[in-house]
Amino acid sequence: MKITWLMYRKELLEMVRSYKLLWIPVVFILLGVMQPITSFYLPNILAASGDISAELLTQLPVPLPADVMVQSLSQYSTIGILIIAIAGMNIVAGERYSGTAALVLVRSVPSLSFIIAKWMGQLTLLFVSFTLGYGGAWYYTAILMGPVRWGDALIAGALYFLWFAFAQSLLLLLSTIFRGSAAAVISLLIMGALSVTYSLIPSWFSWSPARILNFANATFAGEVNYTAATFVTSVLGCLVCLAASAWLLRRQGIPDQS
Amino acid sequence: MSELNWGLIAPIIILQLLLAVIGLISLAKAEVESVRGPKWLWVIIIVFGSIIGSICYFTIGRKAY
Repeated sequence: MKITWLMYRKELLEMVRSYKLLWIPVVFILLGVMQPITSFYLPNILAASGDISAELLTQLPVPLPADVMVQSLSQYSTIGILIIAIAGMNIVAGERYSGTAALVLVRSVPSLSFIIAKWMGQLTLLFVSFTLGYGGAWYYTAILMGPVRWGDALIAGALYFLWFAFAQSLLLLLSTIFRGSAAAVISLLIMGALSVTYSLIPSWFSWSPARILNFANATFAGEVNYTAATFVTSVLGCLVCLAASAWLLRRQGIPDQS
Repeated sequence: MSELNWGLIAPIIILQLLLAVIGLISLAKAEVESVRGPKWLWVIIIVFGSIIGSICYFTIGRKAY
């Protein structure tokens, strides 16, 4: 436990030194804040682009606060995940190929501590970025479109964070197996496949972790029928990915330094 | 466009500037070997590429292990 905590603090220090703890939150805030502002100024943007009659423009309704929140969240499930995947693709592979992992693991640091510290570090980064960004989106939506229900917004945010945690665990596992961009590309493909299969045949894939996103969006609409299977597979998925990464990391030899 | 509220837009502009400044500081401190491609090219990309330029530098610009 003590070792894990120590490794976790080292993770945070590295994120500060590599400016990750600075630029990812800024990008997430921009992502969240842009959506309400573009929806609000949409009539002006359309008017500036030309050919739309003034009559039509006055008929454009101001979007509902709930809709804008759903749109802002969907930015995170696409661009947000993409940024996290690219920024975190070398999370384990980088340490292995630079020789740091060998240096650390040879000193009786269990591979599970190593992996859990990495995972917690990444989740901390995600939590800070997502909370700030989502808070920004919420603030602007409340100012421009109208009040958002507190409970709904908090539940939807928590659900999205669970999906992020799942994505992060998957990325960690793939980063243990592959080196460099392959980890990012394959994890994005798996996440994409999960979303597509669920939206094509919802009845077959009702256990799919991708359903969390539907729960989050439905929260704003009102009625949500939560299914336990979705949460069980998501949490199990995280645990399996962590255990598998730790096991693989222990089994892998030290790669050539190149 | 006359009713454009600058109070709403200002935070976005400040954040964009902040992102570019973080990128430039990081670039200035980085060693030449750890940056992919010439440094002056990245300066242009960060300054003129707004958000995307800075994100590109942070994600693919450095040979980060």
